[in-house]
Parts: sequence; structure tokens; C-alpha cells
Amino acid sequence: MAPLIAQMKEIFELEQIAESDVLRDYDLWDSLSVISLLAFIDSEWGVTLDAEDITEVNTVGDLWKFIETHIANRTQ
Amino acid sequence: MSVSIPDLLKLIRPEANFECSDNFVEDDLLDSLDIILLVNEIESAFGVKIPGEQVIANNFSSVDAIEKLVNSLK
Amino acid sequence: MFLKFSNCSIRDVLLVLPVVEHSYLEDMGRFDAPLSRSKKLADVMGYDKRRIVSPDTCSSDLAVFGLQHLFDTKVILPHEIDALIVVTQTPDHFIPPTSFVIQGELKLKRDMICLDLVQGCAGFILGLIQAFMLLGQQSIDKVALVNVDVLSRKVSSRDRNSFPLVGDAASITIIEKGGNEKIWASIKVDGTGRDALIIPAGGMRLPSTIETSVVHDDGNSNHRALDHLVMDGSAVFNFVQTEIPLLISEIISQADLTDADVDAYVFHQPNRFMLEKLADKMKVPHSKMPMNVVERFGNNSGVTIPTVLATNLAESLIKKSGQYCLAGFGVGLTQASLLMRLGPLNSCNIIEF
Repeated sequence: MAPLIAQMKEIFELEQIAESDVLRDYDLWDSLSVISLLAFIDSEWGVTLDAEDITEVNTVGDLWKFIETHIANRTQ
Repeated sequence: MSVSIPDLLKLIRPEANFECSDNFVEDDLLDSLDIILLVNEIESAFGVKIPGEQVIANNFSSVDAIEKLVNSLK
Repeated sequence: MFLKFSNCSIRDVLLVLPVVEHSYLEDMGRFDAPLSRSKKLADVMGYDKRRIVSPDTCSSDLAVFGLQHLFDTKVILPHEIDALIVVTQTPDHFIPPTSFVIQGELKLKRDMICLDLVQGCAGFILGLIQAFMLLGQQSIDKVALVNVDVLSRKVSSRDRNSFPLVGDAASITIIEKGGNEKIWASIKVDGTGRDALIIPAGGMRLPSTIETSVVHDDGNSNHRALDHLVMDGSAVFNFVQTEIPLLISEIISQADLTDADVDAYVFHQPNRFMLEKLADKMKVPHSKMPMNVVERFGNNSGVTIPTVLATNLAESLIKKSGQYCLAGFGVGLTQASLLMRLGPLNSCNIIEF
């Protein structure tokens, strides 16, 4: 999860990112920062999520579990 | 999972007689939307990605042409 | 052709959507297509819902409604509009231009410029380029750009390939002087491909008659008349795949930028399949290229780009500035691109007609 936390600190311009943080509460949570986050997840883990997927996720920890599930489900 | 090209063709157009055709597109057995559906099935079945510029009638005119395309992407 | 602009910025975007919504699967139920095939097509191409006008609604109706809303909410005052550009393929009349219909209806000032541009898929970009050129004049401070089409009225209800995807809408964009950022634009044209998207009859080449209104089978079980829109999907698909990646890489390099500098690619939306393949070819992650307009509102021609702005990107556009690459491609055949910073906008809203 460390690379995700590091990238999120950059995108959302925060010193601390906790697993329990609610994504939508971030000041800089908007369509462009979501695009940036999804593009990072795609290039880092080859997992393609879209904006609709994100609406089902609440906290940073939930997002990481979501990514892990997608990596596990991949047949390639 | 082993699926053949003829299987996928039957999936897209169950009523069409592909065996009797030399050119599926010229014989109106596959139209442009059928080709797109076929691309989608091929990508799932064979784990390849067909680039946009290869989605042209020539590449889908016969089983041979389709196999050639798929093999070039593996 | 490359163009460069400065001292112009987009201030407001308003999207006007017809309230009537059709469903792709219900529309396809009118044709002989098996439900399973329609569902597959819906899934792969990205078809679901679209908005269309009632059969007697015209382009000026949508535009007047939208502009009146902007006046009522004090986003802009009527006398502030120095130029009105209307980009449409479905004018109210051959003559007078639809921009004059709107100017007259809203009693805008007389000391202004009104002009119509006939453009479609690349219409938002061509309209912006025209607006930027006008703003180079001392006497022009604010331009209202209207992109509008009611193409559902020109599509045969028995054309399986076109009827279930066409949407109607209007957008109004207010552009004004100001801003320090450079704007790059690129345009290429190819009239040899003009038959790929055409309404054959109704103009002077083939005036409308009883014969041109008769519906025929085009050989692929799509039934349409010469008065109706014809779209050669494969020709447009191949044109986009071969030309657009180069258009974009050229404009990005012209601006001395890289792909990493672009925050989002806001492209015309023919269908999701085409955009997925395009994004893959350009090695752009799908998240950076919003591609869900057709499944939510239909392919609304020159309004697809402002639809992306007003739906997918509104909150970012209101809050902050970002580097955007816009591209329109289609009727003509035209390909046009804009690389510019957008935001923070004064307003970015959606209303229903």
C-alpha cells in the first residue's frame, strides 16, 4: 500500500494519509484528482478502475482492498 | 478454455452460413457492428488486444484472416 | 495548420439537455435485432440512454432557453454579448442564420456580430477558435458561443445504426478577454471524405422532393431516405484511429509539453469503443479520457465536448486550473484540437429543456 499512500500524499497535497481517511473528505478530492489517481493505479498495478468504481469505495483502506481484489481476480 | 474462431462467429451470427462463404464481409455475413462484437469476443477468448487500426474488413473476411490477425498479436 | 492565441479565457459553460430520455434497448426493440445481441452491443459500444427533443423543437429554442437562463441568473447581461457564434448542422432555416433568430428573440443589442458556422463533431473547437479570433478586436470583450443540434429530427427511425445513438443538446460557452495562458490549436481537413457523414438531400445539390423522403433499404437492413443523415461508421472509425493520435502528439510537442503534462483529454464522443481503442493507441489511461457521454446522453454532435466538461469535470473546472487537450473529429472530414488551461470557471451548470 506504500506506493498508493505516497502518490496520494502528492495528489492531495497532504503530509499524512491514514487508512481510515474518508476519500471524499479531502479538500482536493475532485474529478481531476480522481483522474490522476486512477491513472496512477493503472500504470502502477495495471488495474483499470473508472470513476463509477470509485463511488463504491469509502476510505483509503477500502480503496486498497479494492485494488488488491482486482489484482487477485486477474487471469493474465 | 479452448474456443475456436468458428465458435465465436456462430456466437455473433448464429443464423449465418460461414462455411459456404469466401468473404464474410462481401457476402454480408458480417457488418461493421458484427466485427466490433467479434473483436470483443476475440480479445476475451484469446487474451489479446486488437489495435484500432486493425479493426478493418480485410482482417475479418475469413477464418484464415482472423487466425492470422490473432497469431500476429500473441 | 497550427494557430496560437493568448489573452482569452473560457469563463462559463452551460449545458442544455432535453428532458425526454430514450433507452437503447427499448429503441432496439423496434428492430428485428435479438435482445441478446442488442445487450452485447450496448455493453461493448457504450449505449444506454439518450436525450432527444420533441419533433417541433428547433436549435434556436434550446439556445434562447439557455441564454435566458444565463441572463436570469446574472451570469451575463444581454448587452455584454459583443458576438454570438452559433455552430449547428440543424439551423432553423436556410436563411436567415440561426444566430439572427436568437439575437431577435432575445432583443440583444444591434451593435454586435452574429454568425453561424456549419460544423458538427469538431464544432466546439472550431467555435472556440472563431471566438478567440474575434476577441483579438478591441471592440469585442465577450463572446457567446452556442453549439446546438437537433439531429434526432434528421435521422430515420428505421436506421438501426444511427437512430438509437443520436442525442440532442445545446451548450453555451462565454469566452472573454483575459488570462495569461497560451492556447494552441490545430486543424486539418479532408473534403475527399465528405460522404462519410452526410444528409444527401435538402440542400441545393439535391432539393427535397417526395422522392427524397421515401425510405429505402441501404442493403444492410438500415432504412432511410435521402433526407436523412447517413453515417459510415467504419470510415469514421478508421479515420479517427489513423489520424487523431498524430494530431494530438503534434500539438502537444508544438506546445513544448508532454503527455504527462495533460490532466485530461476531452474528446468528441462518437461511442465508447472508438475512444477506448483511441486511448489505447495513444497510450493514455482510460481514466484520463472521459468516454461515458454517449451512454448517458447519446452522441450529441458538437455538444459532446461541453457535455464532458459539464458532467465529468465540473467540480474541478470550478475549483482549479488544469491543462486540457480537447479534440473534435468527424463531419467534413475535420480534425481539430486545442491545448489550453481551463478553470477555475465562473460557472459550469446543466439545465433541462
